[in-house]
This record gives sequence, structure tokens and C-alpha cells, in this order.
Amino acid sequence: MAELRALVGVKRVIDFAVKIRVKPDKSGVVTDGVKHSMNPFCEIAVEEAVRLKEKKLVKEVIAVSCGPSQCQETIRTALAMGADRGIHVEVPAAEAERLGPLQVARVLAKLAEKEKVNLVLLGKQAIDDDCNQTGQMTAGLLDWPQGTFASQVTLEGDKLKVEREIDGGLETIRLKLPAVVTADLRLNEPRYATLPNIMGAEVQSLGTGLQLELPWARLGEAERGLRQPLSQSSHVQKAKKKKIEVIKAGDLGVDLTSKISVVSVEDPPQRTAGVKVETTEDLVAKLREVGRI
Amino acid sequence: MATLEVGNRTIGFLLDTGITYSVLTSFPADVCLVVGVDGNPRYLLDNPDVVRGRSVLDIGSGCGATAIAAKMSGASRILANDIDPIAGLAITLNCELNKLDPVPILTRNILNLEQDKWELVVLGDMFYDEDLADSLHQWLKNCFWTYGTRVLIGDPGRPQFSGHNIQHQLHKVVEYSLPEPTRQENNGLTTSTVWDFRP
Repeated sequence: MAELRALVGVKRVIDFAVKIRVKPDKSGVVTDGVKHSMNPFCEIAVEEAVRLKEKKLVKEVIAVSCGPSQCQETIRTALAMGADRGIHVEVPAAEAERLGPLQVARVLAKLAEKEKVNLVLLGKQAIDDDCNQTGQMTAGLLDWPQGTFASQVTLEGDKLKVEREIDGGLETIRLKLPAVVTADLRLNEPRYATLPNIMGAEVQSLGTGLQLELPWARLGEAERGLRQPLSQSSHVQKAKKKKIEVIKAGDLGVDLTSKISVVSVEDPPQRTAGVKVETTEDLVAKLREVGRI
Repeated sequence: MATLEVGNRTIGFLLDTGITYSVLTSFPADVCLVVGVDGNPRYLLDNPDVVRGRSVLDIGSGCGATAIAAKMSGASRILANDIDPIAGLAITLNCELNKLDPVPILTRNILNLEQDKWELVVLGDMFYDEDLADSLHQWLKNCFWTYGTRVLIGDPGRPQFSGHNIQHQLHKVVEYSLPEPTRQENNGLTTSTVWDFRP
């Protein structure tokens, strides 16, 4: 029954709870020493892939991430959540900063073909750049149909029924496999994989203890409700049974050069004080005064 | 003390190392139990005839669940093999916890040693890596053809296993649904199957 194979892209981003600081030279935001984690929408994509695997509709889930060595932590999180193996497309840190959706889409498209997957599952966008392009570009490069902003995914034989969250409400479409799907917030609620375990325990000598940190809060907790963390180091042990293959973009014949360069990154303008008026007449007068009407 | 529910039996377990790397929490408080995804322990406990009076080799013993199940079901001779020395410790402790005499343990890579005659060889979740799968396949074929050994393989549905050539030589014995705590400890896995290897 389960003959489908899924490729899930996972991006390592600055953790949603971190207060972002712009670098003094305006070249970007401060990332050194800053807490990073898996992009929340990528978590949702991984969760959906694992659920399909648990329903025996998907036989293998491959997690892929592009970037420097720290990406392997993100891949390990995916493995601990239930992905079967990982692929780390190694890109040195400086070059990784210039990686955009088009470059990643090229990598994913090549990998999708190489690994002969039937389904590419991605988050709808990353919370650092908000691009919302990678899934669409990947589908375009592969010439595969796409179901973006998915809030529900159902397999119907060789077709995928995708319910999409759009401005007007919900749109349901049917895609022929193979296909690309991008996950929206309400697709599912991801299971936990506590961070210390994912950090990859080294082999420890007998008798030494392991310090476990408390699991951290999640995006939209008010919306999603508190989630129960799963048990401790069992996951890193299971995750260790799963391989992470390390390759370079060049191995896939992918060119990572970008025609986009960042000009500057600045803080949004400080919010200035508003003006209070007493009556409607005052309001209209004020609006005329500043040329709004 | 953490327990492992196997069928309708409860076996006390201290520690399951799982694989090559393991993390130990400080003894004796708060032990970490990882419940296995191998159906062999349950199959042997439910079907003691399979091992009663027979010699059993458990390859990739981990916490020793299968070896202990074999002992409980009356195997005459048992060897628990795992290259992880911590697994060796876990197996000994788990024998003690289950009030059994310690089973002999071998921590060398059995694939590199001369083959011994065994009536039954069991493997649990050992086909997660293609290269290891190939080596094991070869070794098991030799064992089968040389000694007429019965080989039972337990697997929770690893893609590397279901995609391996060995599939053509397997006969399904039984499929178990993994209990909820096991599913939570092993994301993505829902069942475990015991296979009979007949090349």
C-alpha cells in the first residue's frame, strides 16, 4: 500500500521568540549566538509527512535542509519527529546568508528527482524572510502541480485532495501526484521533540548524568494550546539510528548564485505619538490639514 | 522501575540503549526507558514452542528483551550479541531485574567471527542501514544454508528494510500493533512485523 515517498524541506531560522536586533552596519540581523530553531511552518510540514507515514500512506520521509553545519540540528529534529533519514546540503555560512527561495527550489527540485519522491512538503513561508516562494518555485521547476497554504491534505489513490486557506475562505483542489504542498498554520499541530535531545547527545561515559532543559514555548501557544512534550532522550537515540547524508549543491549540479543582493536592513520606524481630537468636525479639519482628504 | 509490556506480560526493564550511541541518566534515579519496536520478544513469549529446548542467538540485542523472552520461554542456550558495550551492561541489569541468571553476552561484531551452529537466530530492527543490511543478509544466508538455522527478523517498517532484496525471501509470521507509549517514543512507527527468513 504505502509506496509514496516524501521529501520535506526544513529551514533553520532565528527562533520566533527572540527579539531581533539589526546589525549596526545595516547588512542584516544579528545571528551570532542567537537561538535558532526549525521554522514553525516547516514543523507543520514534517508533522504532516509523519502522519501520512503513520497512516501507512507514505513509506519514507526524507528531511532536507540547506545551509551550514548547524542545519544538521534542524534535520535531527525532523528525524526525532519521525522522518526516516536526512540530507544536509552543505552551504558555508557566508554563502548561506545569500540563499534565497530560487536557489533552494533548484536544490529541492533536483533532490526530488534524484530521490524519486512523489510528494514535496514545505512550510508555506519562513518566518525570517516571509518569502512564500520556495514551494511555488519548486513546483514550477519540476513542472508538478502545487497545493499551497494547505489546511488539509487527503490522499485519494494517485491524487491528492488539498484544502487551501485563501482570503475568500477555503478552496479545495485535487492534484495528480507527484505534487508539491506547502503547509499553513491550521494543517496540524506538530508533536514535540525537545531541544536538548535533538542537540545530539555524544556518547557519555558510564555514570555521568544528563542535564535536561525544560521544553520551550511554541509559536501561537494561545492559538494552539499548550502541547505535551514527548519523552526525553529516547528520541535522540532513535534519531541516531537514522542517517544524515551530507552533500554539496555542486553535487546536484545546482548553481547557488543569486541575482538579488540585500541593500540594507533597518529597524521599522519608531512609532510616533498619535493626535487626539475632540469632535468629528475637528477630525475632518485635521485630515484636511494634513492633506489626507 | 520502568516496564515493558509485551503481549499481556509485563517485563521489568531498566534500560534500553536502542542503538550504537546511548545516553545514560544517573543511576539509580530516573532511568530512561526506551520501549523497543521489535516484535520478537512478544512472539517468543506468546509462542514458547519456537524456542523451548533450542539454542538461540540474539543479534543486536540492545536491552536484551528478545534474549530474556527466549530465556523465559525455555531456550536451552542463549547468546545476546550487541557491539555496544553499554548494551551489555543493560542486558545484565535487565536479567537481574527479571530475576533471571545473566545470559551470556558477546560484544564483538559477530559478522566478523566464524559462524557457530544455532537453531534459531533472531534480529530486531537491524536493517535500518543499507550496508549493514547487505552484510547481515549474506551472513544469514550462510547460516541458513550451513546449519539449517531458523531466522526470525523483527522490523517496524524501516524503509531501508522494505526496500531491500531480502524481502523476496521473507515470509510474514505475525504483525503486531505497537502500543501507544511505543508509538510516542518512536514517531512514525505504528506496527512491528516478525518475518521468517527462507532464502
